Amino acid sequence: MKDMSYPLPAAGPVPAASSRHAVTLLFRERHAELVRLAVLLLGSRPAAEDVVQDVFTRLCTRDYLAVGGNPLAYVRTAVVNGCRSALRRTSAAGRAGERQNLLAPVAAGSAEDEVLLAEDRRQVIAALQALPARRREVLVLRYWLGLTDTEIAEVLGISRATVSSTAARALAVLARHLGEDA
Amino acid sequence: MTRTEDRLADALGAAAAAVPEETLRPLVAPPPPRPRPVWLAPAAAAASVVVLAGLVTAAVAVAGSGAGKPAGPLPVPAAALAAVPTYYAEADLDQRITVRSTATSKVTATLPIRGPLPAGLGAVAAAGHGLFFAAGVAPHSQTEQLYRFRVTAAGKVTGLTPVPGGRLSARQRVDGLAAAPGGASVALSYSTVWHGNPSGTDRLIVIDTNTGARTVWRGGTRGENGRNAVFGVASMSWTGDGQRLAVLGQRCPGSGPHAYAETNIFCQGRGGQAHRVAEVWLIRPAGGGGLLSRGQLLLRQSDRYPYLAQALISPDGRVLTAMVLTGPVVGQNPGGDGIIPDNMTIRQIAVPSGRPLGVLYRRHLGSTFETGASPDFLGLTGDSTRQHWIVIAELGHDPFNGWLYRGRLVPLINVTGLNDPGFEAW
Repeated sequence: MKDMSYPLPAAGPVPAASSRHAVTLLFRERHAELVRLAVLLLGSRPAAEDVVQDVFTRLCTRDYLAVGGNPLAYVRTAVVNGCRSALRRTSAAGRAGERQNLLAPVAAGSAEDEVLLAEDRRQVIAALQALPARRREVLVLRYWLGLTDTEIAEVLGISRATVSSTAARALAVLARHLGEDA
Repeated sequence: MTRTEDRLADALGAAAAAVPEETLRPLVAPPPPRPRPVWLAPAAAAASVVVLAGLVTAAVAVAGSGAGKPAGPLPVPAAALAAVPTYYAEADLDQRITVRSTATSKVTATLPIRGPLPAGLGAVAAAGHGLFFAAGVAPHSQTEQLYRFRVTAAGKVTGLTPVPGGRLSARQRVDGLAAAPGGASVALSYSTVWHGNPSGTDRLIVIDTNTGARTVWRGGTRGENGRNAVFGVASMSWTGDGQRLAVLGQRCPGSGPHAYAETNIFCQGRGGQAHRVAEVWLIRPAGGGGLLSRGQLLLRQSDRYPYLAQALISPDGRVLTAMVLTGPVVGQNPGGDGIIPDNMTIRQIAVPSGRPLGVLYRRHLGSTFETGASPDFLGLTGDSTRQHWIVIAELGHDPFNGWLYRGRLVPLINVTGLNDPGFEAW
């Protein structure tokens, strides 16, 4: 449950130009990564781009430098939370649209190999999308972004032990869905 | 890594690679804010001292009254637990519709219907004496359907059957449900999806669950500048005789194409922002459909009740139990962060006089960057007697979910759990 909010710094009177510049630099550098993260969590590219744009806009109007600590983790948290808020808003507003096919065509040698690989990936992504939101987040952060459990805990605002147990449960469910042992 | 982990990492990498950087929509920076006049700084500082002092006083008062943040398991006498419904049904963000024990929150049954994709919530409502209704999507189905089911003394689901007249069209998405005591009628609010986008405006259907006969109700009033107002249904509830339905509707008077009356304290339109209007109407569905304004206006948001998030009618139709938000609005931009007042009270109000009768629960919602206050974010659910209440708030850094007992909240599920309840019914 419950992250539902962008954990942004308190609204300052007017963000310093240097803060705004720092935000712009960070997003210029990490734009693609953040959108991809949101795509994997939301299953929709337009919605993912909206979330990242929204986070960017909000950070531009706040004293970003007051964040301290790890700004990248902070922004990732904002994107993850934004995704959950987006899911909820989508539900409230009509749960429009369908999840998109997230996978681009693959190049894996023979045409038969390509079909098999594409199908395998589709199965995995479908199983991932069927997981509860928190489990999906943990897996995406760990197996796509390659974060450690400690880093994931920081992003999600939960304990490292919870990350570990959540990941274990999620993998077990995923393995069951995919017909193999975790 | 295990084979599962290998496959997962590979699939995630492929999915991420399918989003080429060069095809991303460029980020648009907001215009730089205008520097505030120098004289505003000391004024703002002075104002913040006043506000802080007020908050401290309020916090002490809340803590003193025992209505603050739950600090751990709350001892509840067995007699109190016996008085509330034994089970409640829940629809969560992960599309599950489940039945849980009130005492332990453990799942006792899972329904074979789910919320619609993506991440649809489904909806549930209770009609009393173990009778429930749920809207969801059956396996191999694309459209939502209204079902009825019973929960046994052991917490199991029996008799899950479609309700006559309860099938929605492919474009209709259920937003809320309310069942009349005994279950003879069910009110259902829905929005319509056009080309993948929600219309932003809800309608109401009242279904006779025996015959399938329907009446349709609309907010339907025109807003400022002659434009159609966007209308959202925040809550619905029946009187004890099952003849009258109270509807908390929220309109966005100056709405533009992207306005959502139900999700903001401000409405956003072409002309800028406007406060949304919230009204509670009492209608008699048996008299045919039409505009809600055909009914009786019970309560309107006002300075006394500036933000009505939920409002449920008592069995005798004389009292509203309302979730009211007051206090400073956090944030400053419509559509921006934290634009709801952050002091929540569950209070009872005589209608139509509007006279306050008392406060059941109060809580400071804390810093929030959530823009929403629709039923998905703030929920108030009463049992058939309207004596017992479940409160859900999924916003801010302190989300909570529980039932009220003597001004305290008895948690229903572990908030660090993995599900997001959207609707609860008991």
